[in-house]
Amino acid sequence: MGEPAQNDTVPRPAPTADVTGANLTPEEGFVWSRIDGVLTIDELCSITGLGRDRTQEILRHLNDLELIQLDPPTAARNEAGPVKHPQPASEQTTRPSGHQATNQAIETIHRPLPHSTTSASGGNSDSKGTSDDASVDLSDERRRAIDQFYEDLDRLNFYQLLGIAQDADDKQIQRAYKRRSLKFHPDRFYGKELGSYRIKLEEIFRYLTEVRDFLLEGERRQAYDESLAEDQALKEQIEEAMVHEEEILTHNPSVAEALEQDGEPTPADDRKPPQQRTTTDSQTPRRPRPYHKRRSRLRLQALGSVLGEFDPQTKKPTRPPASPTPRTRQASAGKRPTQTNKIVQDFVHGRKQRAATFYEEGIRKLLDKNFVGAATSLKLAVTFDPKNEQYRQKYELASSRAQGLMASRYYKQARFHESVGRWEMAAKLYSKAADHDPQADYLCKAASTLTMTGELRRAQEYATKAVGLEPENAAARIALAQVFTAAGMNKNARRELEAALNRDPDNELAKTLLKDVRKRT
Amino acid sequence: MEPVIGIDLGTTNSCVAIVEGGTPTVIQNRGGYKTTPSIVAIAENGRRLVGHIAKRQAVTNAENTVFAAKRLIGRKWTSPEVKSALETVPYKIVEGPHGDVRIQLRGRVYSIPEASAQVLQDMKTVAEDYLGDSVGKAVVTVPAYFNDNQRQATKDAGKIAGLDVIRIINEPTAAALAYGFGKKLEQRIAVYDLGGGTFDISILDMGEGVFDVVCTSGDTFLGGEDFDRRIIDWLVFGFAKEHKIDLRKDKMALQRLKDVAEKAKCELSSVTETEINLPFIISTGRSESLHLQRRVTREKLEELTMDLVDRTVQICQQTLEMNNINQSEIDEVILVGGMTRMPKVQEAVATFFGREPSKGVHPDEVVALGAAIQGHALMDESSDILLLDVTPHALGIMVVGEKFHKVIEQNTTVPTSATHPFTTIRDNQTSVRILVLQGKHDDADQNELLGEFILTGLRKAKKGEVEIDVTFSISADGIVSVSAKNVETGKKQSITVTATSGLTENEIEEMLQESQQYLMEKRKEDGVEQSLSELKTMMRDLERLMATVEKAIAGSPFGKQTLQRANELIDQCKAALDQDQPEGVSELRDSLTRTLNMFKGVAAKTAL
Repeated sequence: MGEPAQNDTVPRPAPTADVTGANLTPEEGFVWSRIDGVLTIDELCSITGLGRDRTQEILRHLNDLELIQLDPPTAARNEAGPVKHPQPASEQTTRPSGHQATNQAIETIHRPLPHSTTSASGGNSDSKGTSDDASVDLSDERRRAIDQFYEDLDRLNFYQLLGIAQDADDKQIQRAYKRRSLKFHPDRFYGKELGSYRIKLEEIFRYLTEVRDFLLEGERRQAYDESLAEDQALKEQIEEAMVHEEEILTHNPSVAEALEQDGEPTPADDRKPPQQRTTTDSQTPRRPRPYHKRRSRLRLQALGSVLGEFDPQTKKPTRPPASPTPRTRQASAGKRPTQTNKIVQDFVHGRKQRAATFYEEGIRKLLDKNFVGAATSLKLAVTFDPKNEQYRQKYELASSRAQGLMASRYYKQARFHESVGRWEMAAKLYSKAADHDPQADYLCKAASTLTMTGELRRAQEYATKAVGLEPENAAARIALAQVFTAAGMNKNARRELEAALNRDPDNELAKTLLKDVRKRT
Repeated sequence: MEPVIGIDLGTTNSCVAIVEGGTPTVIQNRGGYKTTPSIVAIAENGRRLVGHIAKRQAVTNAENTVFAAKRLIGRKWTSPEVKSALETVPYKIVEGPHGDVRIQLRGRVYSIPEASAQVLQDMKTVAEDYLGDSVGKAVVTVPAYFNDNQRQATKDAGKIAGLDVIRIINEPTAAALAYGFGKKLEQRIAVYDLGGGTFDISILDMGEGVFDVVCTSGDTFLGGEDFDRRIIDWLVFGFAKEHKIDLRKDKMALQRLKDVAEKAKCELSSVTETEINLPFIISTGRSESLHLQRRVTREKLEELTMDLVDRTVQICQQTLEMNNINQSEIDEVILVGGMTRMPKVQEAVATFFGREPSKGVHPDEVVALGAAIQGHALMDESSDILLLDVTPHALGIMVVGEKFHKVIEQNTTVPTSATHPFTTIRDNQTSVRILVLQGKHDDADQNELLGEFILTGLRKAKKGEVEIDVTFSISADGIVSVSAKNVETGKKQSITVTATSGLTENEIEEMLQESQQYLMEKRKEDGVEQSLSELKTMMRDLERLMATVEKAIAGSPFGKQTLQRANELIDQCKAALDQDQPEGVSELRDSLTRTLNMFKGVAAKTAL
């Protein structure tokens, strides 16, 4: 097979290929790692960042090495594995051995649990489902119900899955579990040809059982309820904050203007305390910018500041701080008699005034434990009066603290999902945690779970960030090395592992990985 | 819908039921009994005997009569249970070719599933006679605490009997199904099942038509037979003290002791005192015989068996504790198994659970009814009953140091699956042997070995470097499959744990052929017997008419010839009836029918 002629051809990893034996350059390895049996050549060219010609050249080379197949996409999806063994075939074709080698290393950290295999196959189970359809002995309605619920497993919370209120007692939980079982237990379809639906039903039933057992355990349920309540409060507060923000922006064009002008709260201030995460965040060389729009960032901040216990220390700002600048005192003193609509009239004076108003509002909201509101208000205060150190400090203190707490909450949730093998969910939550509080731990976790789910680029961002943050941290280096290994970039992996061993000569994991990598290069 | 029968294959008695028109019913056997003894024998003439008839001849044919085969099914030759059975049963137990247990009867060796198959076949026939149609599918019950090998062996027994065992379910669960069937209950119930050979305790949550087993536990070697043995031992020791003779050495005496002990035990459930009387139990060797005669009171029986009852209560206690269940959470207690008729047992259960057990179910029939209900529920799409059972034993593999590492815990609701990573233990180890075990002991060899397989092609590396993921899964019908995956290469090896009953597929197939053959021959035999008896009746009728007809037609030459032919025919019939394997019976019958019809015609005319 010569030219990858058609650009909508979907290259697939050759099922039998041993990529570790091939001598690839990092670039080639990278391109190879992008090939997942879904992306077309066109798409690959656009994502590799190597340019069209170079990418195509590499693809040709890979094809010559028989590491990939460039068949037209005809049979590819229909043959996605025999009915009774939906997992193994597809797993081997979509996860080449290079990737698995990484899994091995990662799994020394994470214990793979039942979900790992099923969720891995769950992603493309739909296409498999259709290939089975002819022989499956279920009505369309039933199939839809099963498919729907199967997807809901990832989407809905435990109460929603069982269809009960959050204050349901044990009896109601049991009852709901039984009702669901009547619908989804494989025995209800005894003697029918179920094809891939058998796996789905078994998975659904097992998950329902897990959920039921979980909710019947008082302590675990309480913790879960708390995190749900926080999520809910968060959602409401975000909505409120968004409405609030909307109002401000529509009623006060000046605010919008101010936001446009000032943009981010200029973090490169040398007086910022070193422990503040936003600072370190901006220092990392390859900082991810998931939210480009400022308003989204605002929302994110609102989101980030909602969770957390009330710290009595934050009460202090109710009274003027110990060494307030005279301006602040004036502003806050002047606020009381002033009406908001009057402030708008005087633009220059008004900016400061409004800043003071928002500041006070923020402090009040802090007292009310409305962290989102507080962050929003304080953020606005900073926006209107960027030079006021007091405002900035309060804002950053609140937001950073809240973000830290938020992150730890995400981290906790992520660990739960990880412990039951729901990798995608875990990866999502770990990265959220890392987004909110980019400390090395969170970043490494995010990187390794993302490597598991195959999102190598994002994994790399997190790992790089972790290394940038703590260059002396061996774990961070290892995480990055694992990403490189998964991408087939063995030389880079080797470099990181050697760096890790320099810092921590006794690290067994690094030693093992390094040996593997050396073998491959 | 194809009928599915429910069979309670008990240690001492078996029972068959079916759901008909939405109602579960127990089917009576030909003798009019609802239960059939689980006893199989080979008579002197080589004929197989099953059930009551086998029980009746047990005393005289003790060495060729198999009872309590269930205690041996699916067990290894080396197991302590088999060792203990060796000492107590009058029939000969030998080691099978796969380390399993076999029985030798009249020089032929039978596997245990084969023996059980004969009981199952009998139950199948009972159901077929009742339905007037053939039956192919069955749900068979086993003690909840049976391990996978024992379940598999039971399934194989079904296969040999020509039954498709669509599901093996636990006896206490079946009992709960029958108890809750048709009632709209939302309860947590305890099922205390003390049968002939096994004890089980199960806790279930009922509601919404779903029967959800919370936990189950038990002892597969504790049951009514142990109570009998206590009485036997007591009688034997008493006798030995008096006469210096050990009755257990004499197999005939032992069988008689067994019968009488069981009878006494049953009687003592309703009366407080009974007499044991065994005349001529043994010869002294000086041409005189000794008699055994003793009175036994209920109190004495309770004293002899107190520790057995205590043990059941202890198991109940442990089970509740292990699962954090308080007695007060139990809404109802159900008693299953003949042994629960014993007042002391009822009292112990009532004391432990703090409530009187339910009287609503028949302890001997409820399990078969439940099995029939489950069979029906599986086959009937519109059914609104669902059984959620648990795996009674933990499953895992053997790891370094001959230790047992659990992958699936006890009392996990099925279907389920779990994966655990393992690693190599030696440098440059290129293969691993996966021993699949079931049980609760930390030491691997204390657990039941379900199967084994080898994963090869591991990368040569330092010990601990290569990872292997072992995944266990149990399907809704309880089939265990295990796979091991080389994490690095994705290479996978797996087994479905099935052929571990001690019989190979081929053996089962052969046994099935044989049993079908036997059944056909038996039917043929039954057919010959029937035509012979018809022959006899017609011959008598002919003889009766002879005088009348002779008077009417003797005058004519045609008549003389006819009479002579008729007499010859009668002689031929007599000759045929004297033989064991007569030939030409159908021709004889045809001629006899013709002659008889003619005679009847003549007789009718004469009467006018």
